Amino acid sequence: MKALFIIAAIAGACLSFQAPPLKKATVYLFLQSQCPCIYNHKETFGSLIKTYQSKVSFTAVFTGRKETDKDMQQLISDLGWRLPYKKDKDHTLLRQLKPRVSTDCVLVDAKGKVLYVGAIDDGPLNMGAVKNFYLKDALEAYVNDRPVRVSSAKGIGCTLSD
Amino acid sequence: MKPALTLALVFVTVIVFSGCFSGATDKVKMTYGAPKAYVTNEAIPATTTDGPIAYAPNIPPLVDNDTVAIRVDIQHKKITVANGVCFWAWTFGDSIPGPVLRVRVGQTVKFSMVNRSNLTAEVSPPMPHSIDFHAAMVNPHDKYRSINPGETLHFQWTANYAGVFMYHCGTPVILQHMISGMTGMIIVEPQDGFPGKVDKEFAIVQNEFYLKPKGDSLYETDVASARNRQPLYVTFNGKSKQYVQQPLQVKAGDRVRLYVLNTGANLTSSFHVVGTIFDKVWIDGNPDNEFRGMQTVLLGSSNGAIVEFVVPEKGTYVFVDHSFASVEQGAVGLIEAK
Repeated sequence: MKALFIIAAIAGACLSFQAPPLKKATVYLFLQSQCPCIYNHKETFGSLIKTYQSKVSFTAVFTGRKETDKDMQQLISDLGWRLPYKKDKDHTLLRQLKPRVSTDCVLVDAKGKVLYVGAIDDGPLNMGAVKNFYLKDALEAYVNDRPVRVSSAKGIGCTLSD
Repeated sequence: MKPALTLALVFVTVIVFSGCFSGATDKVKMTYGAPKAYVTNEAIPATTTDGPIAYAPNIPPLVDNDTVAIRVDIQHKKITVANGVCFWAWTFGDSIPGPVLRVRVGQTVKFSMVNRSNLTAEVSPPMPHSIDFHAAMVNPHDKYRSINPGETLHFQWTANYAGVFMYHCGTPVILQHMISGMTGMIIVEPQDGFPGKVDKEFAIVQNEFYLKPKGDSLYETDVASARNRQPLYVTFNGKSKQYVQQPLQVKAGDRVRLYVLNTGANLTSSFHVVGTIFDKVWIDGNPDNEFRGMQTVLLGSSNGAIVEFVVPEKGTYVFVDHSFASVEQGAVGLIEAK
């Protein structure tokens, strides 16, 4: 019994000496469950999640007041992503981060500074041919501790409405 | 025979024969390209269309100028597909299919389009839309660009080929925009008009609806069933079996011309009229592509045709997509000859 107490005490001491987990940067992806535009980025955004999820958190944000959990989960399931989501029904994130349309992304660093707002890429503006990988470039700059060169880009999506 | 005379005879012979074998298309001076498109933010007009337009089965009059101004706006609107079945569609103008447009070869179309989807934000998310004219030869990246809700797109193009052509929204995800209703027909007449006279003419646009129930009589588009090519309805001019209830009216002995277009989005159409034979078929609506004595015309998705036939006697003639699953899904209508 005494030995158990000793082990527990040592384990507790070890845990208390562990550094708290570092807060990660976050990519917020603004969506509407009834808007199909995100399907233009099904593969590209899915690939970004896989590539950067060890260093950056990814979260979907739904701003529509009528969004239901079922619809939000269905969209993410259809897209084939493992992606947590938030409801932003009071539009706190919408006002704070200022995305324009659904499919817009916002990259926020660990200190809360916005590094990039806008389109994932310009594929929908170029009939599917991506010429500028805006979000990927911003992520690459962030993880390599370089400045983000393009901090915003116009996206194609549904108006983020009340 | 003197060499000069021989040469002259050969020259005349070549000219005469080339005249016999060349079609209307060969006589047309082609116009390629057009000034750059541009986008404006102006007050949204009261009406959704302007210029010579009609809703199928009607066909608008031809404007006899070198240029014609046409405006067709985009809106999100509740549309009834069958009794007790409606959904929030995305439309050109006021209906599915969009309005029938009619121009002639050589005419320059000055086109404008307002994206009015911001006016119905409470019930349908406002979103970008665009238009792709299969009848035009222009830089699609420029003219067929997507515009945001509230914006107006302006561009022009000149008709080079006669035919029955499709137009549709080309904004990704295109399949969803098309199954939501964003398709229509434009007729391009040859410079001298279509050959021959007819007594009656109608526009018939076939399309599929991929819908799933949402509650009561309200349905919503179902992209999964569209990807699996399993429509709930296949219709002529956007409503299941509407011409069974209200047949198209002709007289016995009439020569009838049908402008037929299959807008898909996925399936073929085997267009057939029971009780007669098409004595002229112009594939894609171009008189240079003439077939005679056809029972059925096969139209892939986005293919058009003009078919002509004589109504042999009084009676009721059935027009169908002879792929009979489509008949059960609504692609059937009647032509009543009195």
